[in-house]
Amino acid sequence: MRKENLFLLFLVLTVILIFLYPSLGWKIRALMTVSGVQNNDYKNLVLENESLKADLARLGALKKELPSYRGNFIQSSVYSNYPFNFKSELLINRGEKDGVRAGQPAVIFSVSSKPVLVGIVEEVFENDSLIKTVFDSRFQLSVRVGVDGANSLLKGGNNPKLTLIPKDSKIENGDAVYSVSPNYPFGLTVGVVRNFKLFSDQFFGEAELETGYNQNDLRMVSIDINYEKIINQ
Amino acid sequence: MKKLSINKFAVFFFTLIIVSFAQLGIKAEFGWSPELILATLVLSAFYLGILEMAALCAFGIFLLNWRPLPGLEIVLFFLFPFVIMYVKTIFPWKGMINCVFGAVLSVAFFYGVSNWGAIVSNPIIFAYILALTAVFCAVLFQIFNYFYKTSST
Repeated sequence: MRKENLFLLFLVLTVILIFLYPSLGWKIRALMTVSGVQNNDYKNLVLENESLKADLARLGALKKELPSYRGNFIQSSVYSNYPFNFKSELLINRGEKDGVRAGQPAVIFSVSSKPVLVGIVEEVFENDSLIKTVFDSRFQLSVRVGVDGANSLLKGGNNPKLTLIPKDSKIENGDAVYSVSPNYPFGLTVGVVRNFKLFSDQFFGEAELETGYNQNDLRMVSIDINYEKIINQ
Repeated sequence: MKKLSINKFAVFFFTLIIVSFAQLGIKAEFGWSPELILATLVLSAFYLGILEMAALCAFGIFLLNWRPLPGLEIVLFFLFPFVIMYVKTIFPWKGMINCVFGAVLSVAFFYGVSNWGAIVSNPIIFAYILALTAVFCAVLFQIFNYFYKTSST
């Protein structure tokens, strides 16, 4: 066989794989992705701690009992994730035919089955969906922090940041962060505060968000298929 | 027609696999990484023929594609090496300068088109990405230059 034909054959076979069997590429890439191994029990405890703190903060802030958020979740496997910088997207194996719609929240569960926000469904295909996670630089979410319920804006990124925290807020590291955006379920745990900083010459404080999980370790997420995003808010 | 080389292609093929391990590993550890894969594909435009490079680019996007159908980023990734292959014939500078500039401009254009807002909000990380990609491209170019002649000379 001539050499040109060999390269042409390789090219054609690869293109066929890209379009007909993309999952093979995802599996190979998953093998290539190395992430720090962390004790699962420890991670579960961190998630559990976060969700309990968020419950306490939510209930304490409102001073009345609220119905807890109970979505209709379907579990899904993570096929693949965005390979370049600045964005963080996950491809999952649930799509339109499973009832997934854009805007639905994606969560993982703590030991006591409390949901912790991972991201939001961004794009839906017939059998798969793309989730934009809190580690995506385009991600933004209105949140409240701690028992006093200080308002803040969560900005996604490699290190998600809590911005626009009012200067007079009584916030401590380790306080729970939960969603208050109309486009997300109220009171959904997002994480806890880390490195809270107040600058004397600025009106607002800033902090980092500790999520309690590593985005590269996510193999399963759950989607609330009953949640309807409120449009135009 | 330029003589095709299976050996040279195999070297680039395995280099791409090693570089993919490195890029994905760095990103998993630090949250961001220099664009080593794109730099390798740009570099291949200086050493491989068009058919070999097309096969290598196809394999690269096979590894990187993360959606059911390739999106804008993947299309850009496939096109850049071909653009560089054409552009290098126009500019009179040495191969290494063309290669490093080609890689840096490719990365800048890639993020400028696919996620402009991220560059504005993360200028320092973006500068690191450009600088490290340039250094990696220069080093890899020198290594290949020791063993092979560039396709432009």
